[in-house]
Amino acid sequence: MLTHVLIPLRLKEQDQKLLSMGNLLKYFGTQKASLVHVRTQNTSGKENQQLTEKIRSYAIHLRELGFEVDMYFKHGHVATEIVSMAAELEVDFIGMFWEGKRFLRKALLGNIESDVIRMADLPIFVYKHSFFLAKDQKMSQAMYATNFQITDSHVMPYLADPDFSTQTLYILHVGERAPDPWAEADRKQKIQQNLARLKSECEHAFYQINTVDVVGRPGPKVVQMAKRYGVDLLIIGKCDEQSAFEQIMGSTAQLIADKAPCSIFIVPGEHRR
Amino acid sequence: MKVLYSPAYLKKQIVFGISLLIVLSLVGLGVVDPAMLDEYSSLVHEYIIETYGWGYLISTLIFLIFNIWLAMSKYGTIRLGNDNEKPQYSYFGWFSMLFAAGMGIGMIFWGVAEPMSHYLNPPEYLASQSDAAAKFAMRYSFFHWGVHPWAVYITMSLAIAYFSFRRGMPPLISSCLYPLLGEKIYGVAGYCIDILAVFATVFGIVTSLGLGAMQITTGLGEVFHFVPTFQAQVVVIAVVTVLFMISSMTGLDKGIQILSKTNILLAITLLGFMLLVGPTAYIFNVFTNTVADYLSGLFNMSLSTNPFQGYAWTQSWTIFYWAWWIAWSPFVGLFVASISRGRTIREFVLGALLVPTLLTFLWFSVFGGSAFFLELQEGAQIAKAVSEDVSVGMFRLFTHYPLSGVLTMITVLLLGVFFVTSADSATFVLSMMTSQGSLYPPAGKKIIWGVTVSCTAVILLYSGGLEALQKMAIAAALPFTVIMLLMCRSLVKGLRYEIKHRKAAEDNEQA
Repeated sequence: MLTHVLIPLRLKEQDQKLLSMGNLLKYFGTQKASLVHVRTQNTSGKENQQLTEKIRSYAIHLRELGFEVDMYFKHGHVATEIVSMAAELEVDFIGMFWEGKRFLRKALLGNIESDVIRMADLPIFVYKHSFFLAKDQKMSQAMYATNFQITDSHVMPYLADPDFSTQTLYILHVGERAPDPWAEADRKQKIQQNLARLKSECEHAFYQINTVDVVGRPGPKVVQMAKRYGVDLLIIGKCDEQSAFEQIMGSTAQLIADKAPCSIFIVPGEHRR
Repeated sequence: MKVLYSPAYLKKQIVFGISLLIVLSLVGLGVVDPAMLDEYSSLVHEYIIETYGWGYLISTLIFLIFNIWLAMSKYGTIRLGNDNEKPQYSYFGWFSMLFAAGMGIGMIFWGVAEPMSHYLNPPEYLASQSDAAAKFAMRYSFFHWGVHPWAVYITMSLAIAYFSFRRGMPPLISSCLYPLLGEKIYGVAGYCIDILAVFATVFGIVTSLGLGAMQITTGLGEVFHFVPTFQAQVVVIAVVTVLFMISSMTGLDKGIQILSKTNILLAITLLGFMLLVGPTAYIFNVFTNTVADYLSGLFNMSLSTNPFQGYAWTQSWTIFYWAWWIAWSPFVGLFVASISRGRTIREFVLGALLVPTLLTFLWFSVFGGSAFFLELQEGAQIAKAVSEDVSVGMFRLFTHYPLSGVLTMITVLLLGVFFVTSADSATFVLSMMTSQGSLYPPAGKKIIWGVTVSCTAVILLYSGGLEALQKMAIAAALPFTVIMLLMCRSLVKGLRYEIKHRKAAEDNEQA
């Protein structure tokens, strides 16, 4: 399901970072990686040569890990070129590094990763690198944050796929509290039923599945729960219907990608696929 | 005895016990050392008004915008009760009770006094007793008694009515925060909120009862030519207490409703008489002009703190009023909620926002306008009399009209009945709040609260601690402003949840 990945590169990444990401991609059953670098300005012949050498060195590292690798250079608006390249190559997903920026820098310069998340029709793996954990990068615990809506039907096929496996899966639901105690009890009961249903759908792919139900605002709460349970991967669906507030401030998926302490796998809505 | 001391029983009485203890302690302090109570309450009051005054202005405007948005939104069709429930009271009964509980009493007190006070003592940037000051006086009288106070009341009562009648929770302030606090409303957080509500209500009603007794005595003194003494004020409070206790025992359906309807008829009769006998064209000119001023300057006035000139005036009038309305809101909100079952949110908001406001504008135009006519055209010294004693404004106006004795008696009667209805509804609300939101609180609690309120008013009238208590009530407005903003959030969450689930259920049915 996730055999072919497109990896956008700035060509400033450390080798260790790429290797760590490559190691994690193996957990998805990925076999082929297409490396792409998008230039935003004209470069001289010497610079071009340096960039080509750099991307080749990255390709060698990935080949050593057992990936089939091809390389591309593009020119133009970075996010647009990444998304169109992914469509052109018919990759299964995009794997990219998260470049955290401070609020002011993000507000002034924007964030390419956020733009890709917003524009892409494909699943996106956002890799968050930790120098302290880089040597023993693992994916033993994953957390799927569900809202029991249309995103389930897009995310569950990935979770049910034996290639996409971790030891433990947490299925998390974050919702608003009902207006009265009776409606709240009813809501909780329905959530437990839905969590049990999702658990049964992907039980065969994991050693252990735990369900978690909490009350709060989805964005911050999902991040908080990911920290609390110390998960290695957070899986979320991206809803295409955004409220006016989300359109201005960014979607929940963008917020989680920015704040989450671990890597994230984002699955988009159906009509974009 | 075993029942009395069971943990479940004590838990049920926790709000009642603690709030009664706090009230009695503060009243005790007011009796033993009124100067000390005044010193501390003034300190707290001044600090709050000075530091957070701007917050009251912004919050009140938020409540107004919130109400209008709710009424116009898809949530407007949601009924405060079951889907097919009909309103319990007719429009006339509902409006009468709204008015009686909300501000009837204050309007009689301030109908003449407020425009005259602003005319005589406007902010520094206006000349005293000028044409501009007269225009300003009417505009700000409309502003202080217009849609903003009702927006505060509606916000509180809407949340209470929705969570109690629609969601089946007890009619308590704490119930409204369930979507935000969850089960914590049954713990310390919930108790604190309800105790604060009792605190604000008791001190609010004691202050009103004390100040109102002073005005009734003044009115009676004008008619029967005697000097209003403390003894006369005690007699007035005693009579009012007996009446409101009788009314309280007969229940909401009979007592308050009959009294409120009677009162509104009396008020309309008085209004009609003054309009016909007084300078009718002048009054309508004042009304039309001030409505235009009010509407065009609504947002400007809503956020005018006047930091450069007139700051002290804004603090002592607008911010004081806003804090007072917010302090009163638990009482009025609970009462208004209890009489609004079965109405839709749109009907409730528009009805409670527009009808009382229109009547208020007419009232101020008739009484304020008549006073201005006499002051400006005939040189009557009403403004001067008001500056010496605020409670005489209305009565001095009547001396320039035929049948002044009858008019004064009708006003005293109106004041008395408004007092009885306010005290009656306050007793009902206090008993309800301290009985875990029971709509049929025990008679014993009604008697305890009724007697406590009246005795406190008498004692503080004697010791001089009444104004200190009013400042304490206003201090309670600050936490309540925060609670009310949270209530708005909580209400929206509740309504959104309901609409979302209704839509999901409809989709399931169609599927």
